[in-house]
Amino acid sequence: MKTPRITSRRAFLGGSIAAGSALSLFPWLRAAAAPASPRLLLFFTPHGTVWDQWRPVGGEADFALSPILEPLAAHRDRMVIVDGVQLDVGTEYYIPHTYTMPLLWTGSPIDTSTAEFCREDHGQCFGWNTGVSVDQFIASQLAGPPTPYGSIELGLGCGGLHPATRMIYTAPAMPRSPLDSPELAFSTLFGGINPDQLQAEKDARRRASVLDRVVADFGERRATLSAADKLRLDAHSDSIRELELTLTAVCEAPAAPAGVDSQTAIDRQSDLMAAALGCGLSRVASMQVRIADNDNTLYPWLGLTEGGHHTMSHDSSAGSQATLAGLYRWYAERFAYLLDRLAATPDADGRSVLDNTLVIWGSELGRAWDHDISNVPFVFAGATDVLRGGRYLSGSPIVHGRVLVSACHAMGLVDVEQYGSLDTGVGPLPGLFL
Amino acid sequence: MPSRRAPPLVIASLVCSCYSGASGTGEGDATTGAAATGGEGTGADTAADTTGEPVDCTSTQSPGAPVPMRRLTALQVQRTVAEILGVSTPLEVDDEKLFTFKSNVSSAVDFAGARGYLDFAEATVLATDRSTCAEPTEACTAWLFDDIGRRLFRRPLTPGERLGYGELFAAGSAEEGGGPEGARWVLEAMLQSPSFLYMDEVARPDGYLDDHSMAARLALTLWGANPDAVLLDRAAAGELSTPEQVQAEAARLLADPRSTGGLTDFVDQWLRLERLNDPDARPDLEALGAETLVAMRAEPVQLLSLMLAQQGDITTLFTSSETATSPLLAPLYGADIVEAGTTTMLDPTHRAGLLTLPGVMAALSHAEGTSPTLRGFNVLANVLCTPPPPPPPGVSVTLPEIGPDATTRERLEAHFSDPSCASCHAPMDGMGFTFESLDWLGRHRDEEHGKPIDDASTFPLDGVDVTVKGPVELAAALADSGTAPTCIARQWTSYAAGTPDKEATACLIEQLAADAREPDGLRAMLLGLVASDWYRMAPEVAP
Repeated sequence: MKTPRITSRRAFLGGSIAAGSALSLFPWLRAAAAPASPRLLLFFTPHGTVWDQWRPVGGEADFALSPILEPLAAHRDRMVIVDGVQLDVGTEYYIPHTYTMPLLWTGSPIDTSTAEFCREDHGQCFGWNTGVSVDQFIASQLAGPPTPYGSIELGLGCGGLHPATRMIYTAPAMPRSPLDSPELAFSTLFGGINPDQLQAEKDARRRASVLDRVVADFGERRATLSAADKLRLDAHSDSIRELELTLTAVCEAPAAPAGVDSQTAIDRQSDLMAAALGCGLSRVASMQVRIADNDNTLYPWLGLTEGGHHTMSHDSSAGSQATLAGLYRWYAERFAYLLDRLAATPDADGRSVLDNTLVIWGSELGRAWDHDISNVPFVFAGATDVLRGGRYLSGSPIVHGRVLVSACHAMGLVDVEQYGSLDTGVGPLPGLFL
Repeated sequence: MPSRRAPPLVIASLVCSCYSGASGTGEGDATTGAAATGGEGTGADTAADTTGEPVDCTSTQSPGAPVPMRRLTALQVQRTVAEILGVSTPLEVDDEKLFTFKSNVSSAVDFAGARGYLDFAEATVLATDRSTCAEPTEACTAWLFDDIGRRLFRRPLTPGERLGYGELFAAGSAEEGGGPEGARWVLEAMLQSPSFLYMDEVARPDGYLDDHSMAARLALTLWGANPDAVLLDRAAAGELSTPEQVQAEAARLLADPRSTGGLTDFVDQWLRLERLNDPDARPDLEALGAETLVAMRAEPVQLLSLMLAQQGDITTLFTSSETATSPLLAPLYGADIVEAGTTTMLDPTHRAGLLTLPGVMAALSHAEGTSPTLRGFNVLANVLCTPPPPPPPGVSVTLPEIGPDATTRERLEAHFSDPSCASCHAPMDGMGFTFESLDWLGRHRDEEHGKPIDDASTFPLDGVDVTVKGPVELAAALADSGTAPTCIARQWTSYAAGTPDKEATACLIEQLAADAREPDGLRAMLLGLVASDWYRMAPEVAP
């Protein structure tokens, strides 16, 4: 359950840096001087997997990687493969894909007591999430010097605002959208600062005054607002204050993404994610590849040339399942590339960013053709101080809350025993940690 | 009774066929959520959706649409700013798609959204001519506050805003750059202000929206952009208070070329045309070139505008073989263009109305292949408001292998042998088969894999089996159906109100559908809605 604020097990060196003009303008720089902090990175790909091509063969330590997971071989020793996590949709009716997307990282059901969204073909209306995603809960609980970004969300092809397209939530009905292309991510994370110091300070003064006025305008509204609309405006106002903190965050910018297309965009986002975490912009992050309902992307370079991913995922014939397995292997290659980049990025403690980052890969389904969620594939990687790597954990149905509680423990929130309103178990995943 | 309807006898004699609760969108009540716990809806006979329980309609009165505070869509923001400041800038902020139409009513602007608005504001203002403020004169203040500010905020600035923005102008002017820098600070703030980004709707004591709120609704619905100065003057003069005044003003907006904006938002979202610009799903379309794609996507709204100009009724939307096509589409039409002048006459044996336009047919196709399923589904969902239920859980969509030379139709018909597929797919694909003479780019074709196209098909329409051959006969059958005009009136009502239509609008919608069948009926339908209580009244705000 939601626990009170928990003291971090780490100490921070807040305030020990001499105050200069740059620091008074960019107070977040203090954070970069702190020792390397544990980080969390959630990774999503849509529509589950093809189990007989995903499941490793063998025991907990002496297993052979499967065709889909084989691209991760180089990271085997700092990786835990988890087979057996069950999602519980928590509602009477189940709209596949859609209802499990806001559930995946919140452990709480979609809201069926409101009805903003309607699916005529299902004869159902529903609202947003009811819970907070675990990354946002953790971000809200972290002690120590603040980072410029509370969290960083990158994505590719995540579409408009809808419960089926969003997995990160700061509160009920408060989705957090990813920066949906490498170009946008680069300009947001690294492009807002003028390299000319004098001009940067002028920009900072202008933006501070402008945004103060914008926030003041929230008090000038004439309409009588409902409680829900007041919350929406308050959240917007908070977002502007959050934006202000990021606008003075200076990082050594990585190379601007070049040659971006459907085939390379995920890797380019991984480049930017590694640079952002290495620079200390945030300790909590996520990457979302496409959407839960429904990803109909074509992958011509993998032989998926008609219908689209979701359409093909409903075809249980051997030929289509083989093509899908090829796609999920390609996802594993992208995940491996992300881990490569994190491993190649130095951290403040002289090790790599990956050594200090728990990366969790999940999906909204276990198996797409029949919308099965009784077993959803998860892979954990990184966080070498805590993760007991080189393991293949399989078990009878593991309650999904174990995954989310594990994220809390890896981030120092070791008093959290349950996460999300649907959690029926206790503690982190057995065998996951050292 | 405030209904504007002149002949009460007609209303009294009208009996509505109100759609059933199981059909979905219509019944979602934002405050009670009654629909969410209903039956599954799967396995429901689609005919039941169209019959429902009849309701006696004695008036079109209703409460105000229960729509929460709306944040403008990205396109509404961009159109408005392009008109007011003369600058077009990309805006990377997501919209909500609650049902068929985009309406930002349920979530908040998060970090990415706030950053998107900041980037938009800074880039726009940097490109804006601010020379009126070269000297901090009254002309500068009038331009910033009484012209730009009023049009952005859709109302005069409050005294508090004039003071606050005046201080911001002074602070900016004190920096290097002087007055134009002050104007930059002010405009950047206005473009990010909630007073610009959200509709700020105020109810009069009698429950109707006040005149400025009414002006904003009208312009955002019909132009997809903020009111102009004329409309704001009418609001300030109290000339948007009666249904007659509102309707007269709406007629002016509809006759203005800027109505392309609002009608585009309606048609584009209604017909799912965004698929034309989704290279991940349709990589084959990029080869047509960006300009051709723009022309394909614009043609449906151009057809609607043409039918409005010709005082058409709703059936002309389905039957017209005259269109307002771009010359860029001539290669796609090929021999189907019979006569090209100010408008284009198409071969009436191949083309009829909205549904056979290349943009619509291409949007409802796969890459280099037609999709009778997608086409049938979209006619059922968008034109008849009777979407079939989703496939039952656990069904595999594997199509039997019947050889490489099989036509699209033969491949689909092969799986009708499975009764669990056939129950939905036979009527849905059956309707889609009638479009088989139009390929994935909307080009006419006579054969596929060397076999002649078979576009004759039998399927249920309005609960009765009909047999038609080809898209022109299908369009005629839809034009004659009792369901299509009602469905289109529902779509317009949902778009304009920003929330799915509800049971309370059943009689209003039947009236709009009846009006739509009369001469000049398309205009009557569009204007009838904006004069209604559903549109003109404020929602009751929850305590």
